[in-house]
Amino acid sequence: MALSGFFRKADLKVKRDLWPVFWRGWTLDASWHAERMQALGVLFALRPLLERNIERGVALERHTAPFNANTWMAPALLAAMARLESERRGAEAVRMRDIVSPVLSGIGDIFVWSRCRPACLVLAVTGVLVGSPVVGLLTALGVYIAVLAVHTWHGFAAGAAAGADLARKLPALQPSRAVARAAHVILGLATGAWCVAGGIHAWRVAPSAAFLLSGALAVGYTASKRQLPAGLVFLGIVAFLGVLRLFHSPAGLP
Amino acid sequence: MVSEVPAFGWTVLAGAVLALDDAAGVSLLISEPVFAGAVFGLLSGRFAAGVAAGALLQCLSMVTLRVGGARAPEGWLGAAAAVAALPPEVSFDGLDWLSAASLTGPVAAGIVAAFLGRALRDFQRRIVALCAGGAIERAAAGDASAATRLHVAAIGAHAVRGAASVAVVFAMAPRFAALVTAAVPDVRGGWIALGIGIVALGRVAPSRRRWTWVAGAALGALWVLS
Repeated sequence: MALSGFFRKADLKVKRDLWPVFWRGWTLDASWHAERMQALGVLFALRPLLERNIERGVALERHTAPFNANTWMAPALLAAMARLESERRGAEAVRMRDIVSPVLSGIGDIFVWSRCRPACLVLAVTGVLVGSPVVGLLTALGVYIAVLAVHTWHGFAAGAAAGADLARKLPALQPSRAVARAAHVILGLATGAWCVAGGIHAWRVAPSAAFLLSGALAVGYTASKRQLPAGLVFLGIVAFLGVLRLFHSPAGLP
Repeated sequence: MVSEVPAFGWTVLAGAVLALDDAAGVSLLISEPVFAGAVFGLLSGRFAAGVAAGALLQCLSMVTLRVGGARAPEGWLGAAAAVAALPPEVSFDGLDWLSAASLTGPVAAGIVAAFLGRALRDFQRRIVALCAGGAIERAAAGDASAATRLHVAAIGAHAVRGAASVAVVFAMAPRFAALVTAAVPDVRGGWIALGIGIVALGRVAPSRRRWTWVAGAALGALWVLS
């Protein structure tokens, strides 16, 4: 089910006292550290609500546990937790957090890091390559921010509406399939276009440039299967060519 | 010998904002190298050059899975270094700049700066981890003020780190890039970066929609041949 299918107008009315949780949750990653990850960020986001709790100490103690969630999906979880805390159902908030957090993060990580973000970056870089950098950059930025804003706010509203039922409504929190499909198409088109246009242009400039491009494709593919950072692969190829140059490169490498 | 930082105030302010975007929360994309290159290029009065350098670095960090504790290099700082080290003579018309051997040094400087930036960010996170124990204990005892203060301080520290590191990078990167260019004066790094970027795209592009690859290839051929 698409995200929009889950929402009714009533769901989108978020109580005003939950709004600070949304803005404060925006900085969840600022104090990320290996031991408790985003725990300090969660305390920061929920503090205004937790401080109003009659059993303030117990309420604060509940949210000192390690927490880690995708920042696009975290608003839904924070809103549900905030609603439960405001209804004095803190124990349910903790149980729900432990069940839902890994699943929500898994959904968000795939959507954000391997669909939406690369697709927008492809738009930007393609704009630069075709000589329209301003159009490319603004289009990419506009699309990305629009998707981000709609997704995070609707997730927050859905979390606030669902409360303890968030686990049951997880399918409805999935990112829009239309956006994911569009991102897929953009990535596929760019892969083919960059490869062919780059290859033809490199060949026109100099056969050695085409050789360099195809060599980078081969080495890059092998390195990516071994999860080597692309930056190090670049430095490695440059260093290798530097060494070849010392031997005056009989193959005529660039 | 160090280089001067152009529009110093704006440059360090941009560094602070981009560091916050990269590390403090929900990223708005502006800390990616291609956008950061545009920002620093604009501040240096060389927008096209900045965007081109950023695009090359972007090809090298097209897909970064920042999942769990994954530590991505600081691409925005890399873009700052590349822009600082850009040679003045490169032309950015068409795609010919991809063949400019003088871009290899700035891109290499950008990669090194991005990894150094990551190390600095990790160091900051270790300091937060050291301080977090006490703050969490106090929060568990009913006082969340220390935890809140630490969180706000971490936000501020990201901004300060960004501002300081961009100033250092702008001052030092040209020197490093000159060393690389002297060592490999005729390597066309643009094509290498593009090749690696295509591979990264191919890894995330859907294999079950191969028609998009074919359609893209046709579009690319049409564009470059027209």
